[in-house]
Amino acid sequence: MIQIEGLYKSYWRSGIELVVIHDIDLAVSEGEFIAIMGPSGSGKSTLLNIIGCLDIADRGHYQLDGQTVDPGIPHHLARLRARYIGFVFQSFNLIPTRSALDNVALPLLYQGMTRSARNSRARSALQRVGVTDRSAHLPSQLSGGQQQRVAIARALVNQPRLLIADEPTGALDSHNSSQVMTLFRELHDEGHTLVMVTHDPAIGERADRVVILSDGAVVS
Amino acid sequence: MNSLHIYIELLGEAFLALRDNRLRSLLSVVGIAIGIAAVMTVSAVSSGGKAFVIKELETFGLRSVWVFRDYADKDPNRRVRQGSGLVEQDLAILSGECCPAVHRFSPVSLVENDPIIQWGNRYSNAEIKGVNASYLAINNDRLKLGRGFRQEDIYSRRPVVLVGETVSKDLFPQTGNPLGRHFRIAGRKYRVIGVLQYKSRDLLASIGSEGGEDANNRILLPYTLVQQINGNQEISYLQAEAVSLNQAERAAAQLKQVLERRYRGAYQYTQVTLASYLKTVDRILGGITAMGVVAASTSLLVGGIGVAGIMSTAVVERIREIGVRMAIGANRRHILFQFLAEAVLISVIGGIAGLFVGLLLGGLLDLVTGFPLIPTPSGILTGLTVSVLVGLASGYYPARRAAAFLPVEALRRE
Repeated sequence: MIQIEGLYKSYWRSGIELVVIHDIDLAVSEGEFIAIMGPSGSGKSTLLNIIGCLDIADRGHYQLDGQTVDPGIPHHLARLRARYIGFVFQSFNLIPTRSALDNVALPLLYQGMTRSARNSRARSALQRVGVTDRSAHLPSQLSGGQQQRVAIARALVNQPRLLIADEPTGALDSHNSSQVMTLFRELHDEGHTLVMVTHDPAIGERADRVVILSDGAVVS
Repeated sequence: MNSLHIYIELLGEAFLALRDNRLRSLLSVVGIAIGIAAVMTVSAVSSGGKAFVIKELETFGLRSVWVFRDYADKDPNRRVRQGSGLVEQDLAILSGECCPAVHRFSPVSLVENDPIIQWGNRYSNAEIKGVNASYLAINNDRLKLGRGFRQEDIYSRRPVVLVGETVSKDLFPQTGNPLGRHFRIAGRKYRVIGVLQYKSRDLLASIGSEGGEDANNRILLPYTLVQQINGNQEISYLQAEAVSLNQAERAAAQLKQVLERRYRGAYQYTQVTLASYLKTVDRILGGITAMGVVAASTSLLVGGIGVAGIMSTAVVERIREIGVRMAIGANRRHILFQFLAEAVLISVIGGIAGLFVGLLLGGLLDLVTGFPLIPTPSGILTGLTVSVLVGLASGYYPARRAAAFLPVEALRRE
């Protein structure tokens, strides 16, 4: 599913190069559930963003589902995000002025689906995560756990092969965290490939494999 | 994947975004509306002004050309000559094939000494003009009552007259219908055969052109009778009708050429054409309009800058939303389109509102001043096109900025 070789990324701050990703090789096979862990500043979020085609590396080779990801073509990255990838963020990132249903249906708009098709798919995605009764509510009228489940429904709605989650439980209490993780396990059992960043070992434990980064390199 | 469908849906997204920021959107709409209304009003004033002037000039016949002797002879060595340089015998030559640009013409003879015009103990101070049978048509005169002159009236010097409304009221106040009645000019009796329809020249009268001539205080006679009153064969001037408006100068030149050749330069002639007045009016109104449009466009520019400011703010405020939209599948073109669509929607809604305000203002001004403001279809189309362009221009930079973010940068901002 994911083939990464010699990935490298750095930032320049007042003439000093800060290496964020230092020649990382990583392979994730289809249906795998991995957690990327490491101290803050270890480059785990950057690695996740590059895998999710939200960010681009300076050097290295990245293949997603057999396709070479070309960081120079924004349009190509956008298409990969639209077709293959679903995102779950720490802060949910729902559009505050739209209902839960509209938020979940939004990715399908960019696929050119009609409103009725979008809404029916969005409804079944909401059903999948168990928030059907709140579909007309605005994000601000939902609890954190509900918001994150709506966000997961949005990530699932275009039936992506790969789910990317950046600290998905970082803003949740332990009860909601474990609900989200249960949901992730179920999705994993259904065959989704999941890549998750977390700093919480208890959360990391629930993945199949843990990749630990330090100073931009894989240490285990 | 139907990409047209995506853009239609994005238009809806743009509309929702405007609705989410109702007050702000409304204020920018008002800015554009004021600008468009100002531009509309200025151009309507201009076209209304032209229509107003043309309406009055039409009372002379727009294709009218006047040819008369140039008394200010430019040649100092010329022998002094008496007379108008136009006599009965000239008419036969002028009516030949000399002047293809002339559709028809009428000699006009004025009475040399102010005659007394009376009926019983009532008097009139009307202006008397001797004309032929073509005059009414050339001069765009219509009859309220009766008939116009016939060829026989002219050639056999029948003592018949056409009178304006003022003349009719002055001489025959009691009777509504003066047809068949007689009155005296310089002692001779004339029979009224027609009453001229009222002509409005309020604007020209207010400017004081034509020496304050009152179109409704006229008496028209066969010009042959005026010659009889004057006791000579002279004709004061020619009023001709050109075959078309843009042939007017040529018609005048042809008439002048024939006359100058006939008198071997003994007289010089000059001309007045309404076509040249119209050109002047066009130039003046064009200048005023250009200045007005520049002034009005300034307010439109301010409105456009307002939209650009609002959109820039919106991009900064919604940068996270932009990142989210990118993450869930929007490409740069989608983002660009959505923000551009918001700007264009603001200015098109403003444009339509401005058109209505402009129409309302025009109607109000018409009501108060009687000055007709004519919104032309092309003016309305221009207004809408301009508002789309303003939207594109003011939305382009902010939209470009929105689309240029890397998704990760947009998501990272708070």
